[in-house]
Amino acid sequence: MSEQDLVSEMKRFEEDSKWLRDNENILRIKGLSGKFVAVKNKQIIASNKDVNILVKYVEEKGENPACLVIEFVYPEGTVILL
Amino acid sequence: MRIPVSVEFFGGGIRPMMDMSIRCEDPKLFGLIRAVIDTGSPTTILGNADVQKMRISQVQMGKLMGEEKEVNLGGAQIRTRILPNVEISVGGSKVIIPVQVPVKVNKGVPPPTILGIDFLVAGKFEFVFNAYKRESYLEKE
Repeated sequence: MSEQDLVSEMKRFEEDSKWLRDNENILRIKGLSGKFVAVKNKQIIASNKDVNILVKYVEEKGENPACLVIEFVYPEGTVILL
Repeated sequence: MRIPVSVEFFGGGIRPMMDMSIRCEDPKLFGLIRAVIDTGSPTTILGNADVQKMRISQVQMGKLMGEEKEVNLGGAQIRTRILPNVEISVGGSKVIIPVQVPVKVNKGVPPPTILGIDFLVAGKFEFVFNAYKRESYLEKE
């Protein structure tokens, strides 16, 4: 990946990441709580409880999962103590 | 040089979070990742979802170093090994550190990727986090 491609992929990743954070509650209402989701261009392109299945599905769709936002939608009220 | 860090609601509270790219030459790995900066963690640990999305093969897993170590993270019990010489790029700065990679998640909700103290030390970063104003950044001399 060229430096220019990386900058462009990173910009999209940042926008998708922010979109996911801003829309987490809506995703819970839509039944995605407790699932991993893959986001591209501010859209959920796949979801599954098993991240391996999700990644395989994303690859089958011709996407590179390494450059996508793939995150777990924590159930409402989950507190993560780090 | 100042690198902005976003302050977002995540996992029950506001956290300092960063988008970054990670790259490793041997084994060959690349991915874009969102991480939580955690000054309570001495080391940097990849979240399981981030490991999976980079499609680390069994052969690549064999190149991880050290004994499996048990780590309790965010209520999850995981076993990790070390991936040496990982290049982490944030805001135009590159830092090379060893990173812990989960090889087994025993129980609990999957934890996110954590940027620990080792990242701040290796990058010679000053980390500023004002929770009240929701402002955060890394400053490099």
